[in-house]
Amino acid sequence: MARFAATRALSAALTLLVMTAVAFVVLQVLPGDPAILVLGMDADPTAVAHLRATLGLNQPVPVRYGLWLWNALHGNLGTSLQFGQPVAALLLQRLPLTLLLTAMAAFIALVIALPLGMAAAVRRGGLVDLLGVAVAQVGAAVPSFWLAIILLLAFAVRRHWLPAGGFPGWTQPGAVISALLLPALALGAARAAILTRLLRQSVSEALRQDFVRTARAKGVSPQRTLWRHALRAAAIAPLTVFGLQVGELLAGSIVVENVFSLPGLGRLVLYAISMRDLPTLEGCVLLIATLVMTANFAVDLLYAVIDPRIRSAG
Amino acid sequence: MKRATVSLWAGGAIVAVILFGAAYGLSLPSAASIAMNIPHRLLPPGPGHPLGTDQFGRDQLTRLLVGAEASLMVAMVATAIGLLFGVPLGAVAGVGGRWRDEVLMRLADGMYAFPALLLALMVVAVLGPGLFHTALALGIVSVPPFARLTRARVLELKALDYVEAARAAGESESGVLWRHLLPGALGPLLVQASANMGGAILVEAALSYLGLGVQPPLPSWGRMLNEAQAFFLTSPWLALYPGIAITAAVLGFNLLGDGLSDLLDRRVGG
Amino acid sequence: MAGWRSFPAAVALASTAMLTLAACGATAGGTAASASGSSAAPASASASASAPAASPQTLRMAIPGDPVGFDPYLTADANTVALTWNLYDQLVTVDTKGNLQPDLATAWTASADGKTLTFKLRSGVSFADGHALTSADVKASFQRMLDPATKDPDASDYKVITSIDTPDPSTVVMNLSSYDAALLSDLALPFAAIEPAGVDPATLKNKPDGTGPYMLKSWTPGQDVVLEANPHYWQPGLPNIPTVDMKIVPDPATQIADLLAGSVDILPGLSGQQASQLKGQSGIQLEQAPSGNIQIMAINNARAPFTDVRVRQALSLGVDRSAVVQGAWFGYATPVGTFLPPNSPYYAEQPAPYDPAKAKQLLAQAGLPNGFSSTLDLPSLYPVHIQTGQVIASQLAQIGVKLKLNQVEWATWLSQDYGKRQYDLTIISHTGRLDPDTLLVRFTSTYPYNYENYKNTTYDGLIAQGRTSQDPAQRKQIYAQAQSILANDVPAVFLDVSDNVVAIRQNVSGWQWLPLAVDQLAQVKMQ
Repeated sequence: MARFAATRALSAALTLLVMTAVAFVVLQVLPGDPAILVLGMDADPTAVAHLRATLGLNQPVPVRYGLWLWNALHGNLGTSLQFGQPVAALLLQRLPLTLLLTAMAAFIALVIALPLGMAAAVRRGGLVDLLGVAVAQVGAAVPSFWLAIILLLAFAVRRHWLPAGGFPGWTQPGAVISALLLPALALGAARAAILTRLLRQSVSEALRQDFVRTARAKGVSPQRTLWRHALRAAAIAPLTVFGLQVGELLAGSIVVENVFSLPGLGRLVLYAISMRDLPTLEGCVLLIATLVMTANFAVDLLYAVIDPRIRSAG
Repeated sequence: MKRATVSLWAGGAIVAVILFGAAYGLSLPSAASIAMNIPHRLLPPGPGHPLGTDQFGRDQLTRLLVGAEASLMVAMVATAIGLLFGVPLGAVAGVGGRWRDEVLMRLADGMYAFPALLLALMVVAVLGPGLFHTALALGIVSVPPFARLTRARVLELKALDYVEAARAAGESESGVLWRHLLPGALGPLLVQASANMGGAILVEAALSYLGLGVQPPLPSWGRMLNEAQAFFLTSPWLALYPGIAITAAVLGFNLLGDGLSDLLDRRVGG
Repeated sequence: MAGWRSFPAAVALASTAMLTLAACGATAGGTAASASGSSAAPASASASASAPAASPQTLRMAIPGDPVGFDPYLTADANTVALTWNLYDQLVTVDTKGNLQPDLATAWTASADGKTLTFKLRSGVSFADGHALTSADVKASFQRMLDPATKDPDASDYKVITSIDTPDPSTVVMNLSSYDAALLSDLALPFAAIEPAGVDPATLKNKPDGTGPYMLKSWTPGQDVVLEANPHYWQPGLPNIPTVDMKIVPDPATQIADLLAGSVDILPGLSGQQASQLKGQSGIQLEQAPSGNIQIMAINNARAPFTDVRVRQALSLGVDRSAVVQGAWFGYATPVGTFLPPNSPYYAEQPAPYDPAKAKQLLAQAGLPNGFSSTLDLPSLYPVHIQTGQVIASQLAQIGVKLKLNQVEWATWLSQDYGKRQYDLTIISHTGRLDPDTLLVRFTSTYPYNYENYKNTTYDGLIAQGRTSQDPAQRKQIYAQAQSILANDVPAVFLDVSDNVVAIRQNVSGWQWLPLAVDQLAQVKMQ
């Protein structure tokens, strides 16, 4: 078990390294000068040159990457070129919003997918199943940013039931939830669709398994059978997909945060790319990659715990 | 049995409609979708303009049809790239030694786990926006799933008896694999290609929505949604149709892929 | 295991809890909004009649982006200075008509040769931290601004100041290397803010300390900037509204949605597109005034075929400016044929006809009877330039000029087009300040950002003359000549001057548009 965990951790670290290096190189190749961006269009060229030197933008790429890596390992992610604030602080500021958004979206996805998927699996071939499948198929095809725009239109502009974007701050939990409800719905709906299909698939497979029939033969009540045995067995496939879902949710949040003007991590990434704010982009890439890797790692471990066969395969 | 047929036919039908639409769009004179008519701007759906006009007076329906071209082209090129590079890579990983396999697969896993949109964003940011660059970016993102699929296939085949027998008889391992690989892998690859089309259309739409995909004045569904947002107060229909088009296209390819997958499962008896 | 069975129940409970919280949040947000005085929903008067409205405490505004710190000596970013205008004062200021008015200086005189300016400082002015303004602060401010170590991007506008004397705490004497006609009006710009002496300048970026009507309360990047009234402000009774909450809402559609939903009270800096959406909406008023923002299609004069003046003239004749005004600005702009805004006293109208036939003729004369192909770079940060680009491209196609549109990210545009001058054609706006020299100097051959590569020694001479002339009538003549040269040589196609538009809710009044790109908040009132 320990060896399994170790190999997994190592490969995750390697991937992180590669990703941050790629992001670094990407920004080097991009034309565009952070210094003139900070100082503005009418800036004195000597002032721009000064700033470039101060920011160390004239050193060779490998040197700058090495420096960044060294600092990052010590917890110092540098200072944002645009905001002038430490990147680590910026990330910490924005992370809770994106995490809450994705958590709400995942929750909504689960709330929709669980009953729908189970009902479809139990009454396989019936009307409910057909409906569930249809909804799942359409839901998976809908672009989440379009759903976001439609929801915005319908509930925030036409009727002022929910805010039309922006984030009111963390002071009032009620306001926070209402600001994130529409975006989370837009994000979660697509995930719900995929999850529904998966649950339906794996639950119905599990129901056909021998041990379920055995349990029923033994006289255990149908509902207990369903929940206890089938769900546990069926949990494996969705669980693995959940790791992937984290990545998709984070990607989706990039666009949804844009539609709703939410100051989260996703928005920061877009901004950092367009403003050539290298330290910020590096920090974001590191954070997102870490989150995705952690989720996958946790899922792998959980998977190994549930199914002992995986552990020995290494 | 019934469900598979439904998926297959429904998906096939939708894809066919989209292809016809795109073909019709291709047949129109190039100016049709970009000719401006400002006095007729922001008209609601009505005579002469079944889906209304946009802020420059351009006909929505025409733009929607021509936009199909952009989305399909990008998706097809991306899938082609994925196949062209993914299959050989996956085969090499499966056939080769432990080290090659490990390195390639870790790389692929890393890319796979990383959100596709983010990767595509960075690639487009380097190469610059535009139709071809978007296709390239999506192509790069499409390689890992094809690679993994092929590798899994190859590993399966390696373990089969007749492959061992053939090797014992003196045939080279790679020769055996290539001869037996393709027929078996064709099915799953086709399914993956179909799913890939759907996924690529979605990511292209997101990129265009963010302003990084197809450039104006060429129409693109994602970009049309971006432009429609500014007018949602007075002309909400502009935001409706491109979204429906995207959903329909993705749905069609997904259904097609599912139908094919079910069909193959049945054939193989799985 | 009973736990599993109660799982769906638990889920149902959690969802209900979440939805209830959300509903509370929506209404709580609503009540908080009405407590701060805005008419939240387009509700009838009876809704607010139940309880007497508290006097309005917070003005909520939407701004398109974060400021880059709060020190106007460190950046020329438009969002930043529009904001710092309210935190700092200058020696002089302008009124809505563009006339210079006293600010921190109550009177000023110039020596006969124009090389010495003497300012009398106002008494009873204090900085936000409480200490009184003296001439030492003014001296320290300009010293710091002009110090190369500060890297002030706008310092070159003031480099004509060689030294400052402070004979007494309320007198400032500026010694200039030569007379500069633009200096006095440049002193009214937000870049010439008076900062306190003796404060560590590094702290001013995030903790500004000025004599203006507002102080910075907080800045949450990506979310909002909150200003509160400066208790030491020297104008009694101002500012009218004690707190300003500037929400950062980059998306124009969301800005409108916020305004209509009542979570924002005023929305300055509207585009024509946005204004057209808000026209006629109940509860919203639009106020517009011509700005100093000139949109041009810049031409790289050093590249073929643009080296031939006939080709450039053909481009100008092939553009229908009124169509651009309608197409890109939705009517909220005025066509121009010159590089000064109509509201400038030095504006000399130049004809800018739309004559595609003549354009084709000129192209034929230049040896391009079938037109030519070229690339038009459009900075993607500004949707209006993208719109304009599309309109122009379709117009120029009709005279045989086939343009490929190339959207360029802002960072790239600044570096490639503006910095390295690697482009064919591009569309951008330039904002004039107050003096005509600040715009017209851009076409002199020695200007570091003459990205059009325009070289005309006669023009250079005229501009140099205008800058050193002390006679307004003579200056007017000089600039009229200069403008007519530009109209004939067409180093760039001058398109239009846009309007400044603000949308305000009906309970807000007192908005003033200054001929500067700033948002002046002190005099705004709210019921």
